[in-house]
Amino acid sequence: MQRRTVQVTNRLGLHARAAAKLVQAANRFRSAITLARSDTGQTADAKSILGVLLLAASAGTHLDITTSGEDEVEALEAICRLIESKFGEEEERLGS
Amino acid sequence: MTANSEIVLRGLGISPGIGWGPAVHSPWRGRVIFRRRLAPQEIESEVTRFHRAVGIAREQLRVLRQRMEHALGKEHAYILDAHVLMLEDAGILGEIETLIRTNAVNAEWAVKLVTDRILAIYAEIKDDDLRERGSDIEDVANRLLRALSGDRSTCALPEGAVLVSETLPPSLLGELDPQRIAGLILGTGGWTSHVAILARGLGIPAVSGLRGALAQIEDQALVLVDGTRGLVLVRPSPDTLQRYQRQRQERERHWIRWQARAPLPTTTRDGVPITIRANIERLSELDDLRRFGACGIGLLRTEFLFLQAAPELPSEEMQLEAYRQAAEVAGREGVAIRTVDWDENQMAALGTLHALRDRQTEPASSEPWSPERNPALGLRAIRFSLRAPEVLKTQLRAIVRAAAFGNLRIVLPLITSLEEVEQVRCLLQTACRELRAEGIAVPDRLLVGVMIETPAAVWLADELAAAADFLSLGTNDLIQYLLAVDRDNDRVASLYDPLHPAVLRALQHVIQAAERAGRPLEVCGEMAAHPLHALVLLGLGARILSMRPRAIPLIKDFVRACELARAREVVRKALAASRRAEVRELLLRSLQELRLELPDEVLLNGSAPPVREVS
Repeated sequence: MQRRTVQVTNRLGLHARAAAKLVQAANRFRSAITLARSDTGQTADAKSILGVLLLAASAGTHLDITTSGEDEVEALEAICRLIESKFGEEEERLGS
Repeated sequence: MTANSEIVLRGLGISPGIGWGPAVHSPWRGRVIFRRRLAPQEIESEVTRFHRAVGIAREQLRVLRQRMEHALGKEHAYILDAHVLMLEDAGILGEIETLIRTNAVNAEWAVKLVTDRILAIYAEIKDDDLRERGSDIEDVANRLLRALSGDRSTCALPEGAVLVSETLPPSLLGELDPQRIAGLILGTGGWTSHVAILARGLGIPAVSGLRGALAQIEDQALVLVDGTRGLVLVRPSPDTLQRYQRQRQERERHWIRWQARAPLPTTTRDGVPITIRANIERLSELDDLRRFGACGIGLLRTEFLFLQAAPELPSEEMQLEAYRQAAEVAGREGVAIRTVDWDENQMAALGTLHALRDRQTEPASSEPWSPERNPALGLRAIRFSLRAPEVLKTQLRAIVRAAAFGNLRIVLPLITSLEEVEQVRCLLQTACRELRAEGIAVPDRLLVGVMIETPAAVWLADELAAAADFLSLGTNDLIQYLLAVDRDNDRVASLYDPLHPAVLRALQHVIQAAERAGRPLEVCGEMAAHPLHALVLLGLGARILSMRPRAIPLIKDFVRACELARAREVVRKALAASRRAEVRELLLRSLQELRLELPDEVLLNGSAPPVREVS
């Protein structure tokens, strides 16, 4: 099992588009991936858009990410990188 | 009145043109869901029916997503990604399936129970932006319910229908296809709403502001949408229909003629050259410049960049790329780029407000943001930009850099004082200095123009003309502020009158101020796109008109038929009139004297494009 805490830093938090990206990324891995709000302990399955949306993680929220399964290391890395990169919104704009 | 007689509903025309077809109420409208208890042997087939509906809804969303990406750009289509994921969410689907099995209820009822539960949780979310996503859940649930009802069509609308809806939910925006939809009837939404802009861009006639009247339009009844006059005719009589049909044919005939002549230069009958430019809202319209014979871009709106980048702000590189494209397409004729013209409410709706408030020089108050009560008089346009100079500087830097690729000029919206112009010029100098220091080429001179669209700017026109390189008459806002009429408000929209004596006198004052100062003046409001109003502008001395591309072929043809000396004479009389009716009367008479080969309906109501475009 792998575990790390990251902070949501993009301005709108886990809004629909960010949540969609996160779920799409999580579904690329076989491992179980769980997000938990550090403040309230509320958890969500990262592969469920509804769960992620209902976390209502706004900017500044700390999330504990847990992965477990055969590709848990890569999964943790990918999810954390996505959140830390503000969901790639910056790069995508430059490219478009 | 019998049940079958024609009903005329008066609304607000938000996209010109005429279309008719069977009325189809938004498929999302007030659905009543019944609970049905299943016999044990029915359960398996109900679960199968549910999964089949999910598959149909998912496929529809995929098709819609492509269409939306094509029509509105990639950044808009993301909303449908979230919708698809909801229909793939094992948690949601599992919960619905369990309900069907354990409670032995029909799929519709199970969908409703789960949706209600989710919406209740959403209602508890404190963050406004995140909570709003609840409407997406409803949108998805409605799509699922429609699929369950056995409706398999990808598009929720039958071909040739007139769509009737209070407002349009996001997933229906993507279904606005001019090949399929004959017209739009909306309960609310003004001229500047997203739907209106989209409908005009696609050439779909639309009438809004019919709030209470929508119920009078029964499903499948024949309705005619006259977006030019803002009328909806329910069950039009054969006579009415025939009249409209004739108009449409006539208009198509004219349209072919106008388009054929569009590339030719535009000179009045007495030999005065008039420049006709295009107002551009989105980069996808750049092709229209050549198609409709525009002489450069008189107004490039930059709000689309903020829309695309939302919820972040558009970067310098992204803006540079857009301005470069526009510069290259417009060529020698050039582009007037207007700095962003948005109000706080619009920014908040985009979710961009956070990004912007962080960059404001004055610290944002600690109080939570609340919508502006009066956005037209609030923090908008240049005020917004000057409050967040870093954001304005990014835009200016992008324009300066893009000027290497063509002939660009800058135009400032909603100016009310000289100080505002000076502040922007100062910031522009800083931007140029920085760029030079970074080793980036900066053009020797970049023209800065001022939009005259407030009464304050009218009365400062001489000074503003001296301080600016050119003036741009934004008639839409100018008329709104002069007459104190919000034309998005359908209750007072009829008071919005470009031929009001007060408007004519203000226009005269501004045009003369530009002449006195020796500065070029462009007119870039809707007025320019309307033959009768264009006649007035020419008579007042305007020589450069900028308008939405589709209006260009008609106006060019109209200008060629005009004699400037006559127009001047008519306008002189109109300026002496003190009543709205007198002005109108005078102008109509003079139009008749011109004996133009144009349908009256077009002359009086503006340049509506034909329903089907003949290319």
